[in-house]
Amino acid sequence: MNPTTTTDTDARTPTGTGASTGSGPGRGDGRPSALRSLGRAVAMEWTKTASLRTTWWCVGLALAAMAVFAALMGVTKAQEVTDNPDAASGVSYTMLVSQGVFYLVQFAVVTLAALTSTGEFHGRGASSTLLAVPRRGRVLAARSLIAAGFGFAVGAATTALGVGVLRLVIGDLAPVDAGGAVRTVLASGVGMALFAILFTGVGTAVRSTAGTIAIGFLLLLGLPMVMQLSGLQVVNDLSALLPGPAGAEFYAFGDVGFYTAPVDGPVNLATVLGWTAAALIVGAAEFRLRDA
Amino acid sequence: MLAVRELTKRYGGTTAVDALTFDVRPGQVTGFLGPNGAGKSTTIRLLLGLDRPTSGRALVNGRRYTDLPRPEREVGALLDGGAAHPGRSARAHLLALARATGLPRRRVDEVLGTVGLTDVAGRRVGGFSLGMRQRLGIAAALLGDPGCLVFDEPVNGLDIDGVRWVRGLMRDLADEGRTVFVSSHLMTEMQQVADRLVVVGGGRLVTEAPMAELIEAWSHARTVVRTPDPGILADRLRGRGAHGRRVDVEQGRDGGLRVQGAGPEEVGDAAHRAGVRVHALYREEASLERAYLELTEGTVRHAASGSGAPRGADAALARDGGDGDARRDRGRRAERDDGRRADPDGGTGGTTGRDGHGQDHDAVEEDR
Repeated sequence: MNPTTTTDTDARTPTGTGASTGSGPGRGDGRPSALRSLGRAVAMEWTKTASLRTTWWCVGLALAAMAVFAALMGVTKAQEVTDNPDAASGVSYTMLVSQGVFYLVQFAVVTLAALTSTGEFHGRGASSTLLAVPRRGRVLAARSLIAAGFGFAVGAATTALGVGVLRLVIGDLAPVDAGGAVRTVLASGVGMALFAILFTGVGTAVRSTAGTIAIGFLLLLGLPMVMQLSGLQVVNDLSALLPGPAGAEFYAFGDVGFYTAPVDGPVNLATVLGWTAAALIVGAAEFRLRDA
Repeated sequence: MLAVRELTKRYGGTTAVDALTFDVRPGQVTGFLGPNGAGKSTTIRLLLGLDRPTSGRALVNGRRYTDLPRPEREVGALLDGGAAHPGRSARAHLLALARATGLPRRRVDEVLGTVGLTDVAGRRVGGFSLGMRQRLGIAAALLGDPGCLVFDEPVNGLDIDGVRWVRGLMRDLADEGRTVFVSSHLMTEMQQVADRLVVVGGGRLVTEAPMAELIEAWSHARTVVRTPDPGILADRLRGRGAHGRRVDVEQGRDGGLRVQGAGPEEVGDAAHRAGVRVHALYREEASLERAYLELTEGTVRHAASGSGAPRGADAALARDGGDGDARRDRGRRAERDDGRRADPDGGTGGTTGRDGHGQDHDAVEEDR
């Protein structure tokens, strides 16, 4: 380090105009378009997310978890089919990988969204971001887009990996339906992208990583399971309105393999969209009103 | 150019910033001085749109920070540490900020060079020393080559070399015509760099003046004399100066008299002529540091709490006046002090002793 370095580099403006000393009128004018500003904010969020190791740990863990899950399910199914060849027609790739998404992958996505949306609220790290992008709506929009991108990539990649591993293990006994596999891969991607946005909204509202992950666990798994344990059919059915079961119905195309809801079809996607929109609205309002 | 107008920020019942009004002009280093908890950081955060004011305005070049079209070109700020994620490298941190504002990648390398962090740019911020983190924060502030720079306690955690570097940097930035606004709780640091001072205490403006003016007003020598008969000596000294100088006598809180305009020789001679016994007689150099402490002492919120210790003259004064503001307004306090001393019994009122400034302040608080 050379502490005697002076500011000579500062005399040059980044644009090379040399008008470095003025703070007068004209300087700084030329507001970039809203779209370009959003693009820049997205670039910032991408750089921040991609430059953290934890991001890649989350992605890696999701992939590893799905690989292990698929291998385990594959071996189990292979055993079943060996014991009873008629069971081969009952093997559903979609059901098996969607369970892997439901039990494992979605929590990696929640963790990732929680980390990216709350990480800066510890130790006032949000200051530097908000100085660069003072419009908080823009920051949240950019963050949501990056989270959605990661969510889609993780959802689609893990599902594709799950199908691949299953095919390796039981492909000879139960062939893959290519069209169904592609559909499942895309639906998982969309589902995980929506969850990523949902928990970006939650994280922005609560500003706590642990709190966001806890809420994620409750909404996606804990609460619906408890509701389904209850003897009341009404309560049981209501659990389908939670994002976890509704999401699973959506990305498994109704072939979840366990009871989730009395309804199939687009209503489940609408349910997840509703939760996502609500979380984003609450997050945006909190972000806008509360001091950074 | 920064402008703060009637700026107020309340957190529940506490008022962190109280109707603050001041300007920060280009081409100078303006110091923002006040004790810890005086509202400096809050004011800066309000100025930068990070917190919302309860009332009043804080403007950068005539606009709110959040309304600036290209904020990075107008203001750069170093805020209290921890602004960079510990898991990110210094370069990635700056690169993210550069991308947010459309600045080229080479600008990141430039500012890394300016602050002397080029060699460690790839290392994660979590392993940085406090001084290195301060440098990184300064690099972020310089990134957009802004016309206005705001530094919140920039020398915190820096070694001597670092402190001198920051001083030089601020000087250079101001000499280039930029607006430089730097906060500190250290008068000695401000003396080194500031052309102008904005002094706050308890969220309020204490004074705003050029440094030279404050040095003129604050640093002067006084003669302290301790005597069992302060009233008699004070009457003798008052109004008479050797060379036509005006002599001011102030009744000290410890029972001593503080005399301005007369040296120890004159005071000693006067005491001799009056037949007054003298227990101590010495010259006291009032430093800027001391003047600053006196100005802001009454405003310190988190002073060590008193335990029913004897209450000094100030507490009694505030009680008499029934006005808590007296403790913030030194000018008014001095006036009243004079008034009190005109009262024949008043002369001994200050002899009850005093354990510490904070205790007096607490006494005032209890009385309110």
